[in-house]
This record gives sequence, structure tokens and C-alpha cells, in this order.
Amino acid sequence: MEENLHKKDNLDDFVQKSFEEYEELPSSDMWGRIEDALDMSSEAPQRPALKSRWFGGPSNRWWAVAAAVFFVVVGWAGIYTYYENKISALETSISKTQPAPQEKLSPQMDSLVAQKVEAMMAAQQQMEEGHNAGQPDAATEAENKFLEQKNNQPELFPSTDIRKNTTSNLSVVPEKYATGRQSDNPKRLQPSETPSIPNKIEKSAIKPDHTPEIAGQNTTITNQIIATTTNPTNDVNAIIPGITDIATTNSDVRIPTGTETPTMVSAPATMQQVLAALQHKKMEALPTALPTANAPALLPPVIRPHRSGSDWYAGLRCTPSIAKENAAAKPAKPIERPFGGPFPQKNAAFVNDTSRIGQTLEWGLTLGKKINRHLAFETGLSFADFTQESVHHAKFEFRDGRFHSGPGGGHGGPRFDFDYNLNTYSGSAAVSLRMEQVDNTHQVSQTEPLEIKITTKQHTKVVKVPLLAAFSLGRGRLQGVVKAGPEAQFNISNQLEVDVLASLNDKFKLEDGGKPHPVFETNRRFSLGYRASAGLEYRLLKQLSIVAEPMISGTFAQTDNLKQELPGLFTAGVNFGINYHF
Amino acid sequence: MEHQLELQACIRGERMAQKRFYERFKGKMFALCLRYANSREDAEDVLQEGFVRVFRDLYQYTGAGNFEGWVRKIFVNTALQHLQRQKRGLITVELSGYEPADEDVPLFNTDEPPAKQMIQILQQLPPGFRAVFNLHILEGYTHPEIAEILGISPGTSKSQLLRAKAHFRKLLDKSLIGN
Repeated sequence: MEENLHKKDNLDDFVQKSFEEYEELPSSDMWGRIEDALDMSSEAPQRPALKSRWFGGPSNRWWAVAAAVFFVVVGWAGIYTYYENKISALETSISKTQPAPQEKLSPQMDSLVAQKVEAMMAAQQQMEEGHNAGQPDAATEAENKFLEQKNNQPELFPSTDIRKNTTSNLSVVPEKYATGRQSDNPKRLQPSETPSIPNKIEKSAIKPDHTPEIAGQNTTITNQIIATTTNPTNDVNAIIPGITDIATTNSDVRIPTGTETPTMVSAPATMQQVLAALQHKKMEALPTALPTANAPALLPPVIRPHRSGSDWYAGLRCTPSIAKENAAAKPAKPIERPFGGPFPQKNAAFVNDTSRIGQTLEWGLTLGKKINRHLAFETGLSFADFTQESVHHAKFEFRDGRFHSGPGGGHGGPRFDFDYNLNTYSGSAAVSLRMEQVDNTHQVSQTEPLEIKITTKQHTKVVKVPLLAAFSLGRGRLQGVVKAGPEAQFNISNQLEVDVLASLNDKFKLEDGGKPHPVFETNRRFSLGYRASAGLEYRLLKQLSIVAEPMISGTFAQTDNLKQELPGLFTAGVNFGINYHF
Repeated sequence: MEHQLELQACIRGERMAQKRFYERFKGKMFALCLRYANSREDAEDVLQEGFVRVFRDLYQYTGAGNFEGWVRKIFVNTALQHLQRQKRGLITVELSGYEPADEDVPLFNTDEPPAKQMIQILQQLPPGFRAVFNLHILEGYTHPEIAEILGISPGTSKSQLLRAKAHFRKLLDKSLIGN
């Protein structure tokens, strides 16, 4: 033997010959152990319970994907809303504190205005000397000439923000508090009288850099605006009918003519809104700032849009719908199962299934937030409880059957278990049909076809959580609404019953009392799907609206951890609901 | 014909027939299990599981091919799955640095059959080497077949076999020199 071993090429032969007829006996109790195992295997379920490493199986990995999508979308919406509010507040703050950039006036305009000022000075002198009776008004002529020029060359007259000449130290005081200040300021303009404007101030107002020439020095103007009102309170949020007077605390500057009119804002407003209008209002440069009898209002009634209430809304939904479960395709190759017999272990047969249709009534709550006039994000929670009845035919050959050695049986004939998988939307159910050979004296061919007609009833409860983008179209009470987005579906309950069985082969009959009990081998607890709707929303009241939206939703087909295809579920119906706008 | 009736009886679950079947195959199949297993206890576990599977799947035997080969295939598969359950990554373990310890090598006893002593040597080999050695030399599988069964490449199967044979020879030499 030692010689053989040292011949390098003879090792394989040596080992093979050594083991050729070699036998070794196991321990004497081995047969008892095998008998016990056989008894246990006939009682225990044939297929081991499948455990997943992550959230119950690969099919449930959608959990993680859905959670990620959900957090991204919600996070994005939160950040968007936060920064929208932040930017809005910042704009308000900037408009109150920061002077606007100065605009350059053209030399042509400077010249025209200078001519007008000189004409007005001459007119004023004529009035003082009493030479104006029956004479053409020089100031009016200058004004007409100026307006004509303005109409012909509007580009020479850029708008000028009131804030250019101020540092916007803006305040509002009721009329009774303003009285004392009027007496303290002899140059303060009275609403009823024609204002007398110092020449040097008017000149300074038209300077490109808006720096007045006072006593030959350049001076930065600090101007506090005082809006006088009949409102006796200091509450800037109280609604007032209008402004009776607007003045400045700076004796060297003035509020342009139109600003002083009580009708500065067209509708009753709050002082807060008046201040906002003053701060943002643009007036024309010097021409319209000059005191003329028919000067247009410099502050048209523009008030920033004010949102009344919040943009949130909530609603109730009721959705009658039809649910259709598509048939699962027959697997292309036998299903490999862990720890089966000779590999690949295969499923005996597969059901020839048809589609299943059921009716359902879905109830739900919605919660939405409007981002702007057209766009909103909406989520919610809805519950659907539906029952589907279906008929299918399971087809086998006799050799697919598994001999059943346990007790029982109606006629004492040999019995065989035929297994297959019924793949449903919410999982794959293992169904075992026990058939009894009617006449066991006749030999049955291995390829003898068996066909069993089976009626099943499936009862499923689903909770759905959509995350929709909603687009509103149109104005007025009636608006079109289009919604679309992903939807998470959670199966909270799933039951499958076999109702009716009939063998279509008279050589075999279903064992008496052998009604099978399907066992879900894999469960699909979570599905990611979609939802889309297009319908109408009608505003009954300011805060109440009703909706009617044809809707579709569905889930995608998946493959479970045994590589079996689980069909998707498609639902079509109409959302009827009511929304409350906060 | 008698063989067919015996099998039908086994399929029907008749214990006497099944025991006769067990008695017929237990020696050969236990020897097979010993070649793959780490120990005698493991081999008995594999033997028990293998017979349960054979009786459960006997109805699937269509009569084509050698019946003993069909049974052997079930036992080989059971033994491999048993090894894989015991140690994940059966074949992919890096074994280049493997060196058997001297004290692990059994001394050759000329009074015992060589196969029994070679089983002891085989059980000293790492499971990956043992699996490839058994599948190729004693079961007659080709490298592509081994690659498919074990989920490795044919090249890996070849290299594993070369190493397994080298180690087997080394252990056998030590065993003989000890005498």
C-alpha cells in the first residue's frame, strides 16, 4: 500500500478502490431516530417558516425606500416653508431699515426742473407783489410745459422711492398726539392749505444724489414721517378710515404732495398697512412732487397681499372603488426551496389563476398645505376593507402528488397531497390538496392529469398613506384639481379561505372533510404604489369646500424571497369629500 | 418488479418496507456521510436527515437512471447542506496557509481497512477541501459540476482539489511514517 501511495498518479485510484465496497454501520438506534423523524415530518408543515434578515424579507425592503422618500419630501416641504417665511420676514425688515439705491436723474430733466423752479419762484414773487391778477400763471405754464415734456419723454422721469430721501424713521401717531408737534414745527404742512416750499429744498429733491444744498453744505437728510389719523388709539393694527395728515419731523424736507391726501389708501386699512404702503411706495421725481392743484396721488393704494388665515386644510374622503388583482405569472422554472430533497427542490405544480376583482369602500382623512395659489402638498390616512371571490383551476399530474401515510381516509384508498402556491397581492399562500384514489386496484399512470376547481375568498384590510402634489387650476369658487404622488400601503389583515372544491378527474376525489387551509408562506406587509386623481373642488363657504375626484391607485408587482411573483393591486374609484380650510 | 413493489410500499409509508430499505442502504450511505462529516456524530445526523428526505421524495423517482445513484445524490446533497449550515462560506475560506498539526494525524493501523483510516484523515481536512476531494475523486463529478453545486468557479474547484490532494497525501505520509 505504501508503494501505491507514493506513486503520484495512483492516489485517485487508490482512494477509489479503498472506498469501492466499503461500508460502515451506524449506531444501533439509528433506525429509531429515523422513525421518529419520519413521524414528525408527516405532522409538521413541509415548508419551513421563512425568516428575513431585514424587515421580514426582501419584499419589505420597500419600507426603507418609502421611508427615505417620505422623509426627503417632507423635509423638503418643511425647509421650503421655513425659508419662505424667513425670506418674507427679511424682506419686510430690509424695506424698513435699508435705503434704496439712488437713481441718477438725467441732465435734461435737471434742466427742465430747474426752469420750472425758476418759473415758480417768479410766480410766487408776482403773487407777493400783487401783479398776478388777470395774468397767465407762470407756474401753471411751467407745469404744463413740464408735463408735456414728461409725456413725450417718459424715460427721463424715473420713479423715485420715498425712502431715498429718508432713513425711514417711520412712525404713526393719532391726530390728537400730532397736534402738539404741529405747533412745534412752524414749517409743517397743513392739509387744507397750499404748501409753501423753500426753493432750496425743491432743488435738493431733484439732485441726482438727493443731497440738499443747505447753506452751501451737503447734508444727509434724516426724515421721520408722521401720519396723522382720526383714530384715537395707538394700535397700529386697528382699522382706520384714512389718513388726515402726513408730515415730517425734518424741517428741511417735505412729504411729496400726493402723500398728504387722506385717501392715500383707497380702502379702510390698519396703520400697519399704511406704513407698509408708505415704505414701499414709489413716487415720481420732482415734476409730480411739485405743488400743483391737480397733482396725482403719489401713493396709489397698493398694499402687500395679506393672507387671511393659514394655508392648511383638512378633509374627509369616501371612495367607492373597484379593486382588481392581476393574475401572477407561472414561474419560468421550478421554485427552489431551502433544505428540500434532491436539488433543485421544486414546487409540485403551480396554479393556473385568473384575475380577481372585488368592490371596496375606502374611508380616509386628508391634510394639506398650500404652498402657493396653485400648488399644495397633501397627505392622509385611509382604510380599505375588501373581499374578493375568485375561481381558479389547479392542474397537476399524478406524479406531482406526495403520498400521505397518516391515518384517515374515506374509502381507505391511497391518498396523495398535491401542493401549490396561490400567489396573491398580499402574499404567497401554500395550498395542500389531499386527494384520494377512488379505485386503488387500477394502476394509475404517472402522467395522469388531475384538475381541481377551487373557489377562494380573500379578505384584505389595507391602510394607505399617500403623499400627493396637488395642482389647482382656475379661479373662483370652482377649481380643477389634479393630484398625483406615491402611496404607501400597509396590509394589516389578510385572510384566504377555500370555499368550494371539485375534482374534474373521476379517478380521484377530494378526501372527505379535507378542506384545505391555505397558509401564507410569505406576507407582503408593505407595498409602495401610486395614486392619481383629477377632479373638481367647489367652495361652498369661505372655509368649506366639497370635492369630487375620479381616482386610480395601485401597487407594483413584486417578487418575494422565494422568487415568486406577487401580483399588483389596481384600484379605480371616485373620491367624494369635504375640505375645511383653516 | 419486486423492487417496484418495495418502493411503492415505501412511498405509502409502510414502516416495514422502509426499514428494509434502510437496512439495504445504511452501510454504504453511512460511509458516504463519514467522508463528508467532521465527526461520527455529524455523520449520523446527516444519515438520519438523508433517509427522511429519501422517504419523503421517493415518489419523485421516475425510474430513470440508477436508483442507488439517485439515493446517493440525496445523501451527498444533504451532507453538503449540513456542512454549509455548520460553517458559512464553505469553499471561499482562504486555505493557503492551512497546515495540519502533527498530533492531529492518526497513526496507520494495518489491522483496519484503509478506507476507515482514510476517513479519519479526510476529517482532518478543512470542509472545503473535503467537499471538493469527495465530489471529484469519489463521486465522479467534473469541475464545472462541482462549481455549480458549490457555487464557485471551475478554476477554484481545480485549485481546491490540487491543494486538497496535496494535504491528503501529506497527512497520509505522516500517518504511514509514524508506523
